[in-house]
Amino acid sequence: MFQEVIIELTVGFGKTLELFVLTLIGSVPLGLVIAFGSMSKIKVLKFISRFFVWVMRGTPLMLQLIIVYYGPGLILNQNIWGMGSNGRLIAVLFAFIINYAAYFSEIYRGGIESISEGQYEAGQVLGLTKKQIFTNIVLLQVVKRIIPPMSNEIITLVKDTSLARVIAVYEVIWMGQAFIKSAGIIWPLFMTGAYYLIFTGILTIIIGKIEEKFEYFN
Amino acid sequence: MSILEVKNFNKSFGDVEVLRGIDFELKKGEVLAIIGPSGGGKTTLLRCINFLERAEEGIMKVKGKVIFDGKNSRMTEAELRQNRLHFGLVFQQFNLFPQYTAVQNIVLAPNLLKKADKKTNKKNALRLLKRVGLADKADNYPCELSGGQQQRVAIARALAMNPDILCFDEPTSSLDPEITGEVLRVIKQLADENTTMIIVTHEMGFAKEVADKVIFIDEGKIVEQGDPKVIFDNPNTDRLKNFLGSMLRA
Ligand SMILES: Nc1ncnc2c1ncn2[C@@H]1O[C@H](COP(=O)(O)OP(=O)(O)OP(=O)(O)O)[C@@H](O)[C@H]1O
Ligand SMILES: [Mg+2]
Repeated sequence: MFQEVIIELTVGFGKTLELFVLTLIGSVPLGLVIAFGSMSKIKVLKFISRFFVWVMRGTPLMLQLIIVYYGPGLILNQNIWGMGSNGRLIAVLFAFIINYAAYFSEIYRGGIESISEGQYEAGQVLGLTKKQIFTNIVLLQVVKRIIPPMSNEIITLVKDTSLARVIAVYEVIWMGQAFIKSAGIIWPLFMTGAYYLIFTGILTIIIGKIEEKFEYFN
Repeated sequence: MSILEVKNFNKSFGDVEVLRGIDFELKKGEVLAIIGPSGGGKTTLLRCINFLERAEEGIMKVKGKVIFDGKNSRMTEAELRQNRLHFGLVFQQFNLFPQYTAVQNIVLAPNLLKKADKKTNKKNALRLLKRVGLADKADNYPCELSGGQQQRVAIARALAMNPDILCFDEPTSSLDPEITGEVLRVIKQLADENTTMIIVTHEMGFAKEVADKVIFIDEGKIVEQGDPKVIFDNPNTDRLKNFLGSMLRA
C-alpha cells in the first residue's frame, strides 16, 4: 500500500511541479510587459495595465480559475480549452499565468521605481542612452531588490498550484484525497504536506544562495 | 574666446520662477564658483547647463557654437547626448553605480560609448584613480569606500569622458567636515592643471582660494559677479554682505 501511495503522490507532485514551472515561465516575462504598461506615458496603456492588475489582485485566484475555465463555454457556447485533462491543464495555466504576472508586475514596478533618480541622471550626464542606462545600470539593482518579494510569491505559487484541483487537474492533493474514497485512508493526504515542505525547503535554500550572490553591493 | 556663454537663462517650475535672466561667461581653464543662499537656483542652473532640466528661455554656446536655444530647444536624443558630453557633472550625492567597482564605474561610459578600446579605457581609468589618490581602491565597491573616496571616484568618472567643462554641485555637502579636505584638494589640483570648472559650493574659503571668478545668485538672479577678492573682501550689495555674514556665523 505504502509503495502505491508513494507512486501516486509522486505522479501527482509531478503535475504540481509542471504547473509551477510553466506558470513561472509564462508569468515572469509577461509581468515585465505589464509592469512597463503600468509605468507607460501612454495613458490608455497605463490605465488598462493598472485596471488588469487591480482585478487580478482584487479577486480570489480560485474564482479566476473557475471563470477562465467555464466562462468561455458559457459565453461562446464552446470549450476553447480543448477536451479532457489537457484542456483543463491549459485553462489552469492560463489563469495562473495572468494572475501571477499581475503580482510580478507590481513587484517589478516597485523595484524599478525604487531606483533613485540620481542613478539615471549619472548615466545621462555621462552621455549614455536610455537603453544603456536601463540595461547597464538600473537592471541589476532592480533584480537585487526584487529577489525577496519575488521569493515570497514563488513560494506562494508552489502552494497555490493546489487550487488546480477545483477543475480536476490531478495534482498532488487531488491524488492524496483520492485515497480517502478508494481505500478509506486519510494519511496519504497528510503526506502530500511533506512533498510541499521538501520542495519549498529546497527553493528556500536556492533563493538564499541567489541572495548571497548579490550581497557584494547595496 | 569664451569656452562657455550662458545668456538670459530663465526657468520656472510651475508658477515659481527659479532662474530669471542668468548671464555669464567662462574662459578655458577658468574656475567659476557659484555661491548663494539655499533655494537661490544654483542647482537648477547647473542642471539646465547639463540638460537635466530644460530652460524655457536662453542661449548657451560652447566654444562659440550654439548648443542650446530655449526658443528652439528641440533636439534629437543623439544631439542631446552629444551636447551633454561637453559637460561633466559631479553630484552632491556621488551617485556611483553600486554594482560596479571604482574602476568599473569609471570605464562604464567610455566602454559603452566606445571612446577607445577597452584596454586603453581601463588604463586611463587607473591613471585617473591615481590622480584622485585612489590607486589602491580600484577594485573596491562603492559600499566599501568612505564618502570622500566615493566622491573622488565620481570625479574620476566624470573626467574619463574628457568634458570641456566639469561641474560640481556642492561636492562636499554630504561629507563629514573632517573629510571634505581630501575632495577639495583634488578639485584644487584640477584647478591648478587648468581644468575648466563650475563649482557650486558653500565652502567660502575654498571658493576664494580656487576660483578665478565668483557668481552670487539669489532668487534666481545674479546679484554680483566678479573677482573673488572683490566678491569676498569688498562686496557691493547688502544682500551679498548679509549672505557672507551668515556664512561666517554658520
Ligand atoms: N523639480 C522641482 N520642482 C519644483 N520646484 C523645484 C524643483 N527643483 C527646484 N525647485 C525649486 O527651485 C528653487 C531653487 O532650487 P535650487 O535647488 O536650484 O536651489 P539651490 O540654490 O541649489 O539651493 P541649495 O543651496 O539649497 O542647494 C527652490 O525654490 C526649489 O524649491
Ligand atoms: Mg542646490
